[in-house]
Amino acid sequence: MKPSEKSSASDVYKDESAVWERVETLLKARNLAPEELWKEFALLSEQYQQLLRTTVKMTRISDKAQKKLITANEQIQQQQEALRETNAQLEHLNATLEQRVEEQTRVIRDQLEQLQEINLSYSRFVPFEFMEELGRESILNVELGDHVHDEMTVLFSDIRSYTSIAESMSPRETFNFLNTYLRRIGPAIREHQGFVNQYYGDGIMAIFPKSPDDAVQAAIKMLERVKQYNVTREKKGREPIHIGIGINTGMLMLGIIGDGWRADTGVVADTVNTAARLEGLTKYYGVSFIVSDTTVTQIPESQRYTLRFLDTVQVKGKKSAMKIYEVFNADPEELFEQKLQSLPEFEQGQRYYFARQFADAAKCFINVLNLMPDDLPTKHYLERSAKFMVEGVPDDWQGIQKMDVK
Amino acid sequence: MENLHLARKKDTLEIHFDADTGVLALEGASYPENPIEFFDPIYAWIQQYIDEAHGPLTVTIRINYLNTSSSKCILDFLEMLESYHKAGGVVQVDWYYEEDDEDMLETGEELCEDLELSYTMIPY
Repeated sequence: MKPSEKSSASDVYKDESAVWERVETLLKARNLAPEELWKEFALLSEQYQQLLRTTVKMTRISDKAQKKLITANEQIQQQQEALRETNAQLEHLNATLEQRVEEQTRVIRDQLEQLQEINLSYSRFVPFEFMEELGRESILNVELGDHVHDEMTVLFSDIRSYTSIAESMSPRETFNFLNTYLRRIGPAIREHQGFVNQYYGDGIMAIFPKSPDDAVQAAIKMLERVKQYNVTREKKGREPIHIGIGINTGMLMLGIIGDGWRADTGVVADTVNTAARLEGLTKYYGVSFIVSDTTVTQIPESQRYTLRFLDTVQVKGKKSAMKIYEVFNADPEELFEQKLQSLPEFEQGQRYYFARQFADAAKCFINVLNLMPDDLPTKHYLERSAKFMVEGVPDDWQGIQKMDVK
Repeated sequence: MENLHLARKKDTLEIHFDADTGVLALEGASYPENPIEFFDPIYAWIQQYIDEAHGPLTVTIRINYLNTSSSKCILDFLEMLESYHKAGGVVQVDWYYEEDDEDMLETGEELCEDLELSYTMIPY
């Protein structure tokens, strides 16, 4: 390499390049004395030795540096290989993991679906609404002794002459009949924010936690559905069925009762017994639907319903008397019109009756019976008026009718 | 005289010279495109210290890679120190190498062994 060439490598060897320039100068100078030439040669020899030493050193060092680079490169390759293997293992593990996660997810999903089905099945035995009232989200959280004390409306319904209907059918036919009937009637309760607390054969006990109005609307809808059901039954040549409904509103205790092994929902209150008694009274009065005054007074705009005051009664097992009303909105159209038309005369008769003017009362009731010969409430009033006219009225008579029927 | 400090770069050494204590530290890897451009100012600076301060020099070298040009520059640098030592200056070279790095130990020995200098090989 010529000294004049400019590069980083030549710069590094600038001292050695200077020696070479000196040699070139000496070669051009041909007139040097032998002694001077010898001196220059000796110096050049020493510098050559130095250059040789440096070259040897640099070669060794360079070899070491190259070896170090190669070793480092090999290590990097080994690490890359190891990394590739690790990556492959990770990918395999990842795939396995994904597969496991997928399997587990499927298992969990299946279990969840099963759990939802179990929950749904449980809800058929313990309604969601019941658990909601207890402040529980799931049947799993429900504990023996859970209870709530609140004002609610209770509905009882029953099929008239069920025993004689059942007698004419086989057990399987009876079973099918009951399920068909309940399947048609039951939804009316849920549609109005109620839930069935218990079935008693053909009887239904339902709770309406939110409003008494819900219960009245549900009862009317139940009666409407019975009418529709009867159309189907008549087409099949079967006898129509009739139901009675009693509704009462009041405080009740709703909770889980049992012995730790066997638990059930329970509703404990006088309100429930009274509602059951009112349902029983529908037979005595020959009407479909009776409500207590505690229910009527709590219904906003109760004039939306067509009500007929029936009586002041003391039901079996109760000391205090209560007023009861018939709601006849769901009666057959002709009967509905007759009841509506005769209502003023009926109410006038009741006023005479409670004022102990039984002769005048009787006249009114006869007028009503002329229009509705089979109206049992009017018949009862007429009979009582006649009795009091003949036998006289007890001194402590307050117009309260003691009911021994259940 | 002011201190000298050159920060470490990817391909050049970190240089720190404390003019008060005479301690010069070189650390890192060296494989610059133009090594003279990097080393010339250091030569000039050390020469100025020798000319002006005449103080003792302790040189600590902690290098993990040198390319060939850089090795030649370090050799020239050590020869400068040798000249200073021959002229009566007090010079100590401490060559540090990673415990398992035989190559850097041997490189240090290769660079120092023919010089009339006090040097020590120290593993870390």
